[in-house]
Amino acid sequence: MFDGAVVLARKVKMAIRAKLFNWLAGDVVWIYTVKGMIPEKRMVHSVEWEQDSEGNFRFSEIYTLDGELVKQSQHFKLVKGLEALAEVQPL
Amino acid sequence: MANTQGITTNYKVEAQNGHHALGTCTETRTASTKDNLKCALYLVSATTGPGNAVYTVTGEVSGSGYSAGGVAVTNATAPNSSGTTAFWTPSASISFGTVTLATAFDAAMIYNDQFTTKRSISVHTFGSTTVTGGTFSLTMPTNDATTGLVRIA
Repeated sequence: MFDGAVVLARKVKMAIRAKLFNWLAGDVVWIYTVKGMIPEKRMVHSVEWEQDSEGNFRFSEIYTLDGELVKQSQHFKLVKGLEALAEVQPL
Repeated sequence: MANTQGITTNYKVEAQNGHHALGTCTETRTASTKDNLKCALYLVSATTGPGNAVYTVTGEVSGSGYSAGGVAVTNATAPNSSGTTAFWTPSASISFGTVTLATAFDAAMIYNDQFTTKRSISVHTFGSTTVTGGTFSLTMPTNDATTGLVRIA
């Protein structure tokens, strides 16, 4: 009788663990923010593309939580580098 | 076929490889391998530019996840040339992972981190920006004579 209760308790414990794992790993995507790890579904996610005054492309990725900015990444694609002109002085 | 004057293309490449010392080189090289490079970020309010001979902390960004001096630059592609233009570009994007840089910045300095004196190579500007708990990255232009990051024409 006692052994049966222990086995049942173990099964329940394992089932809870599995449910918890699936919830963490399978259904919810967690995002690192300045407020800690937050499920992606709780936040508003937006992206923006623009070309800056230098001609470079900027890709912004923004997450807000209840209207507050909690994560913002910026990615620039540099279109063109810098050029130095090498000149010789005619003799 | 007439003679033509000009700085040789080979010189433009080899100057970047450290083959020439027309003046006194104050660094003692113990190996012929390429130098380690780094990239630092600068605030919009700074005055960093081509006049900066060495890496400076003046005007450098600060914030969570950012270490003074910046990050290493991946340099797996040696300087090359096409036509009469020599060019060089880092071989990977420059990325600052999980940083918070709340004060606007708009410039990056690439400098030589091999020696005690951190000699500058170039300063690149981009649109004013901030980062909040995210990634800041600079994706490099195509490495050729027209768009390479550093070109000597």
